[in-house]
This record gives sequence, structure tokens and C-alpha cells, in this order.
Amino acid sequence: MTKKQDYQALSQELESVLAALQRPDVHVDEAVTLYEQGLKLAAALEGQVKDAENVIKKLKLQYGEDGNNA
Amino acid sequence: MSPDDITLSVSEFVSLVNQTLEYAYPAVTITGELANFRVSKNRWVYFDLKDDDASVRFFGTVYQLPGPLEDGMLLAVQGNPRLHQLYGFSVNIVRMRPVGEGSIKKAAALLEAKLKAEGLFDPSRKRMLPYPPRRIGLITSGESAAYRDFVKILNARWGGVQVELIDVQVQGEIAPLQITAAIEQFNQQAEPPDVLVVTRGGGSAEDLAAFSTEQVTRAVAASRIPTLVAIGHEVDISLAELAADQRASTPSNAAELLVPDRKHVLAGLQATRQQLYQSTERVIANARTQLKHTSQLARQAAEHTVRNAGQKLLLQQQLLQAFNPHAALQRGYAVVRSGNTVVNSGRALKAGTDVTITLSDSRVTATVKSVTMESK
Repeated sequence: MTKKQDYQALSQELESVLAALQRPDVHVDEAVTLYEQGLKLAAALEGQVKDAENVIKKLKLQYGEDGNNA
Repeated sequence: MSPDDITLSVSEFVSLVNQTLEYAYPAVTITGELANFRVSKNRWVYFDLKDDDASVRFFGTVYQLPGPLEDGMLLAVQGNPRLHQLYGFSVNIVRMRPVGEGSIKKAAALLEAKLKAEGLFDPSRKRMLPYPPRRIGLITSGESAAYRDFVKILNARWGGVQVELIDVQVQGEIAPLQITAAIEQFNQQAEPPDVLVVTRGGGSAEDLAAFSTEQVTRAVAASRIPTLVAIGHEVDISLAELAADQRASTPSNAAELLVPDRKHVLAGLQATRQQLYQSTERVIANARTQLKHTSQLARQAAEHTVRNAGQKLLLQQQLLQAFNPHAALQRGYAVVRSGNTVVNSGRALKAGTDVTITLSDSRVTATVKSVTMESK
């Protein structure tokens, strides 16, 4: 799982993991695996969100609030 | 032989008189008031010239007329005195012209009325002059101030216009013929000029008479090249000017009408340049405002998207934590396995079965003592 992966796809994968975890018949071993998988996905997504925020901050500094050269 | 002794036949007498007259008066010019003017068969012209005490008969053809004539006008007629075999004494006309302010004006008025009736002065005949022309055919006296003024003003205003001069006499007997020939010569050129200018400076009514002759007026009207006639004077307008596509008051005025003043054109260009600059500035300013707006929208949209993603992720993380299996163990739940299988029912167990119990911090092995099923 890399940061390069599509955010939308990762987010949907996490949704599926959460849905699986919420199933009443989920086995405990399965739950552990899903949980771990969910944590990894969340971490990857968080990384991407932080990157995006940083890019926006950087662009604001570089080009100013209005997109004009500051 | 004394004169008394000479006896001649009638024919011999007529011949002798004519020989004598020819010797004495090869040509004579007589000035007098026109009377009994008549034209026969559209060709032959008869009239008398008279003063208070005498009257003389004249004979000629319509081709020698300077224009329409009327009894009472004062004329100067050049001719040869002749005694006709049958009709008696008359002067055969060589050329003739009206003289005196009144007669010249009267002759001009008659000619004007005639040419006007023919439609030579109709406004509908007037053509636009090319503006500015590239080549001008100029008809004037090359020695005149009119010529110098015209060329000077033309070059001061515009420049680069080609002027081709046909040098003519602008007054006197020969003037109408030369001016007419010049107009025809320009019209016959393989590449005729864009406009013809006929001009001269001011002068007395007699000085300007050439420009009101039928010959010159008709030549101007017939020119295929557009015409500008400028005769410098104050009051009267010559007939050639009336027949021209455009007229001007002086040679300088003619040059002014023909070409724009480069100073004005340059000022106009400068104003246009200013407008271009301002228009461009405005377009750029608009684009700048538009871009600023768009950039703001784009930034806001990007921020909004990232913020939403973050919020959604936070909810997912919270949900994920709710299903954290380790949290259950910490709350005191345990996982029982038999072999590698998680045991979720007592039916899978019996006394003596070895099991592994996973706690939050450790793993315990145990043996089942007994199984009691609970009813739910």
C-alpha cells in the first residue's frame, strides 16, 4: 500500500473493512485482521490528507492568497 | 491711263476690289455692337456690327462662335473684308470674342444657361475624388505662382504624391485650345492619373475667360479622369469649375482638398494608439480580476475537498477504534481457541479438551473441566 494509491479507492477499501467489521457474524481472528488492515488504510489516508494540506499551504505561500505572485 | 479710262466687267471689278482689300487689310479687327444676329441651317452665321454712325455686315460659320450670342453684346471680330460676287460687301469672320465687362458676362451667362440645360453641371454627374490620389495630372502654367503654391502645399501636407504637369498658357487666345488638349492628353494615357487638376491664380474677368469657354468646359465635363478645377478669384465661378467633379477656391485650396494633412493624420494615429493601449490595459485588468476570482474559487474548492476528506477519515478512524478487538480484551473479554479454531460455542468443547485463552496481555493454556450449556 503506497501513498501513490488513489485516495478514493483507499477510502472505499476502508469503508468495506468497516462494513465487514460491523457484520454480526465476524470471527474474532477475522476482526483482528480487518482491524489491522483498517489501521493501515487509515494511516495511508491520513498521510495523503496531510500531504494535500501541506501542498495547499505551500502554494498559498508561493502564490499568495489570491493566486497572484506574492 | 487715267482712272477715268478704266472700264471693267463686274467680275473683274469684284476681283480687283478683293485684291486691293487683301493687300490693304490682310486682316482687320473691328469692335462694335452686335445686331441682326442669325444662324442659317445650323451652320452659317450672319450679323452686323454697328456703332452710332455705321453698320458693317459679317459672315462666318458656327464653329467660329465663342458661345451663344445675343444682339446688343459688344464684340471684337477679326476677319477679312470681302466683296461677294452676288451678295455685296461683308467681313468674313476669322475669330471673334466678346469684349467689355458687360458683354463678357452676358456671353458667359448665355453659355452657362445652354450648358446647364444640357446637364453638364448636374450634381448627379459629380464623382468622388480618390483620397489621397497617388498620381495627379496638373494642368496650369509651369511658371506661375499657382503651380508653386499647389506643389508646395501638396508636399507640406502629404508628400509622395506624383505630380505630372502639362504646361499650358492659362490666358489669351491659345489658352482654351492648350487646356483642352492637355485634358485630352491625360485622358488618353495608357495609365491615366487618378485625378486631373486644372488651376490658375486670380485675375481679371478677361484673364479668367479661358476657363469659361465652351471648349474647356466641355473638355472638363467629358474627362474620364475625375477633375478638380480651382481658379483663384473672389466672386464669379468659371464654367469649367461648375462642370468639374470638385472645385476649389485657389491652387492652395485645391492641394488642401486633395490630400490630408499628415500632422492631423499622425495626431489621429496617436489617438488610436492611445485607445489601443487603453483597451488592451482594460482587457488585461479584466483578465487579472477574473483570474484572481477563479484562483480563489479553486483554492477554496481544494481546501474544502481536503477538509471533507479529513473529516470523513476521522469518523472512519473513530468507527475503526470502536471495533478494536484489543479493546474488548482490555475490558475483560477473552478469546478461547481449541487448536487454531476460535471457540464461540460450548458444543465444541468437552471435559478434558485443551484450550488456549488469549487475554489482553497474555496467553493461558487450560484444560476444560466441564461444559454446562446455558439457555438464552
